[in-house]
Amino acid sequence: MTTFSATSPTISEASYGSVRHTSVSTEHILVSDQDKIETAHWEEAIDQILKFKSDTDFLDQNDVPSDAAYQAAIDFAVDHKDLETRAPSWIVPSGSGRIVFEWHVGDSKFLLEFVEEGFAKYIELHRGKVVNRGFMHRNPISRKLELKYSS
Amino acid sequence: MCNSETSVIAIDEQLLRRIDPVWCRMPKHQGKPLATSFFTPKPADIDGLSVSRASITPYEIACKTAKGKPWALAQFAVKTVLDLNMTVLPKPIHGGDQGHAIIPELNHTDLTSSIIEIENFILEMADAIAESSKIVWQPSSLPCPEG
Repeated sequence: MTTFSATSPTISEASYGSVRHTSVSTEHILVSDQDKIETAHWEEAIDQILKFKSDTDFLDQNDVPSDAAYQAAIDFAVDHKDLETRAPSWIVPSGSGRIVFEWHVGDSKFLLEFVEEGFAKYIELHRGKVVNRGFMHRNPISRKLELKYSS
Repeated sequence: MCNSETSVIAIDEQLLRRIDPVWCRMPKHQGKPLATSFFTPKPADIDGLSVSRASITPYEIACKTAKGKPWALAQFAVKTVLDLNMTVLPKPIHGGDQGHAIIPELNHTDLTSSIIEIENFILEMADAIAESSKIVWQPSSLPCPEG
């Protein structure tokens, strides 16, 4: 199992099952090549999370994220707002008290599902196939979410 | 209540899935694929992904959440589902949506089974549906520019 810091840009070639492709760290995923000014989009993302949280009628009961999932999502957004990182393409309450950030970058999609405070599930799809899975947890020392890939 | 019109789903029908309408108004989303997460089963989709048949259910009914809130509607073809080797079963709601149907392969029980292969399958199928879907209706309070 490999651990990547969410703050260290890393690219590595890796083979996952029958699919071989360029594997990237979360930080690389989030860095925008073309649009470096993402702060506004992060602000929109945070506003949207807060709207979900405040407008309880907007979501059906089963879809309402837990307070812990909200907090994890907001923490992540605040951490990345000022780092010239790509804001998520979509934010979706995924049910069971969870909330998903979803990035679409080229042929790849990256899903980060906040499960509870300091913990998120990570899934990467490339051309429609799941090629990476893992989880992120908050390092108690650095206070940053760190990614671990799992098979 | 099933009748002859609702009991058979034709291959050329279109299906509707309710999605969160908020983000579609943002210019950065215009013309982009919809979120895969819109099409992964939620807890309410316990026996399959809940959809409505566009030929039977008016948008005004299909868009309503359990709390009666209007959401946006994404549309995709029955053929897309069949081409993915999945099925669409009619499941009219008594006293409610007569065009309600489910895609049983995409159910929340399997998604939470902790079997990685099954979860991957559901995610990949949801992603394929997301790629073929487009927004066809949204609440008037949230104008969505043409993409």
